[in-house]
Amino acid sequence: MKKIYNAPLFLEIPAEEFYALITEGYGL
Amino acid sequence: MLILADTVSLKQDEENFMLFDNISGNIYKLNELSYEILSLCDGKNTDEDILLNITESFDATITEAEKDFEGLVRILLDKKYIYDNDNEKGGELYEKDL
Repeated sequence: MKKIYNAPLFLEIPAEEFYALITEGYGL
Repeated sequence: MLILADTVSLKQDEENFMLFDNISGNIYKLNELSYEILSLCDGKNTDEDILLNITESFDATITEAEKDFEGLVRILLDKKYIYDNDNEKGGELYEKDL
């Protein structure tokens, strides 16, 4: 089955947001 | 054919897709589609190959996929995150521009 199509995302994020994403992902 | 510059890295972690600019330290959030497009920029796939891959994997018309693909490619070329290896070489040009 084909995946749902969403327009390509290319969004600059601040480093703080990146670290938040990572720490949440690893339960930290 | 498009090729990813050697100054950037692509990372996937579960449902997070990221592009890192190893020179500036900038971080970009991608989605699965933009990650897939960038992954296919290996200097071997033509634009048509990439578009075909997208329309096979995602529920999109060729017109829709082509419009979005061209928009993304334009941004990435402007930022020198990808190169057209028919006439430019990633890395070398980047250093000359600094």
